[in-house]
Amino acid sequence: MVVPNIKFRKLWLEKRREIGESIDLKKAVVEIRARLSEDLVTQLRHIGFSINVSEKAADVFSNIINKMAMELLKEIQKGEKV
Amino acid sequence: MSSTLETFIKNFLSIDEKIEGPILFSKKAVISSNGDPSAAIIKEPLIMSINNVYCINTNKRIIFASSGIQYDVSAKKVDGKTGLALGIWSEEKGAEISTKISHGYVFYSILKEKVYNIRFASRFVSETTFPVAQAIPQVLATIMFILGVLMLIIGFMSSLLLVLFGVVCIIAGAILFTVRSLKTPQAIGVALKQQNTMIIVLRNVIPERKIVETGEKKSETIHSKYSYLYLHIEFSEAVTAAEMSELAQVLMK
Repeated sequence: MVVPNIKFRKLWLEKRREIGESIDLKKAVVEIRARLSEDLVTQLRHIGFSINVSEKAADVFSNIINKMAMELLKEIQKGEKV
Repeated sequence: MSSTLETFIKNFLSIDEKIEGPILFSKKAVISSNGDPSAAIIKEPLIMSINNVYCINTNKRIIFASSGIQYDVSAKKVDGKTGLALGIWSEEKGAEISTKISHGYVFYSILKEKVYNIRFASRFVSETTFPVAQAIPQVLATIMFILGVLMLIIGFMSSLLLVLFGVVCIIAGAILFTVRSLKTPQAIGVALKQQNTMIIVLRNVIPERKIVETGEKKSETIHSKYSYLYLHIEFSEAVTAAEMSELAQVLMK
C-alpha cells in the first residue's frame, strides 16, 4: 500500500511570525501577498484543485491583493495629508 | 505587542487602572449575555464577535484591541456551477475566494467587576482531513468485456482461438468488476498547532434604585441584581500553555 506524502505545517511558529505586527502597509504588502497566496494555494488544493490551477489562481489573486493594498495605501496617505 | 498599540491603549486607561497578566493575541472573541454561569457554558444568541485582537486584562476591564495591518483569505467550494466556464471548456470544480486587508485600530472594552467563572483548554494538536475512496477498475473491466464479446463474435465466424480469448476476456472483465481497491491522495497536509480556548464569565452588579421623597428627593438602593457576560476567546496558535495558565490565574485572583 502506498502511503501518501505528509507535509507538516508548524502553525504555532507561522502564527508567531504573523503576530509581530507591522504598521507600515507599503513594507508589508510583499509579505501579505506571499502569505495570502500560499494560504490560497493550500486551501484550493484542499478543495481538490490541481497544483497548476491553484498556482495560477494564486498569481491572479496576488495581483488583486497588490492593487487592493495600493489603493488602501493611497487612501490612507490622502487621510494623513488632510 | 507593538509600541504603537501599547501607547494607544494607555491613553484609554484610567489613573488607577493597570494591566495585569500577559497580553495575548486572540483569533476570535465571542461575547454573549446568554449561558450557564456555573458551568461557564455560552449559549446562542451571541451578541458579537471580534477577530484578530489582543486581549488585555486590567484590574477594571478586559480590553480587546488591535492596531496595524490585518489580513485574511478563505476559499470555499461552490455547490453547483459558477458559470465562469464558457465555450469549449466545461466546469469541473468551483470556488469562491474571499479576502480582506485592513489597516487601523480596534478597541473594545468590557467592564469587569468580578470574574465569576473560568474554563480554559490549551493543548498541542496535530490534525488533518483527507479523502479516501473505494474504487473499481470500471473502464478496464468494460473494455475487457466489450473486447471479449467482439472476439467471441469474430471467433465464431473464423477461429476457435479467438473464441477462447473472447471467453477469457469476458471472464477477466467480470472478475475486474468485483475488484475493490483503496485510493488515497498523493500528499496530505498536517497542521501542528497549539489550540487555546478560554471561556470567562463576568458578573457585574446592577443596582436598582428608587426615588424616595422625604422632604428632599434622594435615591435609595432597594436591591441589586447580577448580570452575567460570557466571553469565548480563541487565542492564537502562537500563545503557549504557560501564557494561558498565567492569564487564567490572574483572572481568578
